Amino acid sequence: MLIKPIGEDFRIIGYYLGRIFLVVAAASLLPMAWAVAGREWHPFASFVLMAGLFALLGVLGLRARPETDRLEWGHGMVVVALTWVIVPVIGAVPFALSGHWANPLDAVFDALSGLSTTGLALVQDLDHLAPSLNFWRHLLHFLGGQGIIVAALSLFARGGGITLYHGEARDDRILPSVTSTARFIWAVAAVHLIVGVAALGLVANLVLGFTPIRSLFHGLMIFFAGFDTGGFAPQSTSLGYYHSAIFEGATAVLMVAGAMSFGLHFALWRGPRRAIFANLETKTILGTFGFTMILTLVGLAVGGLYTSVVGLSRQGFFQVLSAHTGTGFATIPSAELAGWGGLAFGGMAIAMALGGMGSSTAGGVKALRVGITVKAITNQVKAVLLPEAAVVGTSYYQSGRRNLTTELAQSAMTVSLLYVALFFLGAGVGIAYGVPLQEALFESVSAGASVGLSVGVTDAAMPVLLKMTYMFQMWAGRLEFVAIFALLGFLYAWVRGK
Amino acid sequence: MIGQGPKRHRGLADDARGGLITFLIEIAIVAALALVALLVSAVILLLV
Repeated sequence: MLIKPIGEDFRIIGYYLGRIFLVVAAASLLPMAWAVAGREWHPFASFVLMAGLFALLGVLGLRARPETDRLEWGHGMVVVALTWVIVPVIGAVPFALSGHWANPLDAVFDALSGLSTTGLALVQDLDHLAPSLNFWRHLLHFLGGQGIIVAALSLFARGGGITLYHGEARDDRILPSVTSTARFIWAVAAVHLIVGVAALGLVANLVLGFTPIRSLFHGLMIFFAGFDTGGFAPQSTSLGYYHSAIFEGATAVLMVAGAMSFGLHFALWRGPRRAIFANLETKTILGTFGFTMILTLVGLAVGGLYTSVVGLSRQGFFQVLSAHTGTGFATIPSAELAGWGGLAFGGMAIAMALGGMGSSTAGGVKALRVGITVKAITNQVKAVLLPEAAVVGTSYYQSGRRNLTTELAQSAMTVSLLYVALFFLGAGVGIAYGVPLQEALFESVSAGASVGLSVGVTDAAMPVLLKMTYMFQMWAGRLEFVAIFALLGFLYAWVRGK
Repeated sequence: MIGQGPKRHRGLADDARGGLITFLIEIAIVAALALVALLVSAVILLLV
């Protein structure tokens, strides 16, 4: 029998939502300050309105005053799922008031795309968008990639912190407490921010000839979108705007760093480093990256799209890396990417679907699940082929030897299947609206795996239902389903429970 | 216990060294993958 939620359940959820909204309200001060510095008074007013709304909701949430502040598992998941709905809606206010988005739905689409680190965009005339609004777009990547919840946890983490942490699709608990883990995640981000912005800014200034202020702006925007595997760019031509192999190289380093799990960051930072390449996750991602890159390069060469070694390797490598890390930067226009048919399309689509490492800012199925699924299938095949008396090994190495239990294999396969279903959902809706199969599948995988590469389907003129389907894919794909199911279960229990 | 002295506290220098090694490994990974892409491209274009 389903138990109907009571007032205390709503108070706990409201209280934690309130805390998180106050963190976002504080983050809203940054674009506000940027607008003041740039004397952009219209965006400034819209940021004040947005911050006020977050603060108001935050204060209302705190006033819920539950009897206990201990979060049950279900409460935590509902808090996470609702956070990722409400923050994009309120976060879209400055976009909706700017005149650069055709309607409020498009503004919410971009805010959700930013927060979920996807990078698909419906913004119009991006090249003339106010810098403070551009800053807010990219800051949404940073908030979503590092995790609003992680941000909140690093400030407060009394009862229930771990539930919120898992709800945001993170598994690694690197340090003994979830608070110290959250703080380590932010420390890694802070160091990468300083080094990344300095490197990109220097390249922009010394190689591309940008002014120091412009270099800093572009360095910061590309850092947010690269390290958080987001994919927004300050210019409509994405990374192609810079026409610079060095700039692409520096960005690629940030993309790789962003797609690495925080467990791996911790091992690189504090050791032991020797075991890193023995991990199933590392071996899997290196293997799948190599496979999809070769597939794409062969496809491009056979298609005759690139005839020089440097051209083929540069475009193929960057696009596949962008797809596999879930970033979504492109150095070629959408129309050119749409021409990547056959094997090149297959390589890119598989790379996007597989995604980066677990507990990273990347989306997709994730390397550890892929590795576990492949290993489980291999073990099954071995068990069939070998004599009945033979013992098939059921362990794998991931920061130590671990047992590959049936439950673990089932869990990895279930989530992988849910991703496949999510990709087919978006592709099906696209096809229903007359989008060609290949393009519908590419765009759907891009949305569901939080990538953001586009072959031109995502456009302000696309049907409302297709926009909403992609929004659902971005939301469900980023949270890896569990929090969504918990929210649906909570709502069902509220309506039908006793 | 014999041979087990007091644990040394991690200082700023340790963290700075760890951070530097992290960046060097990240750069090395990208450089290695780009080099592989270049070599594979050369081989593919020779064969196609």
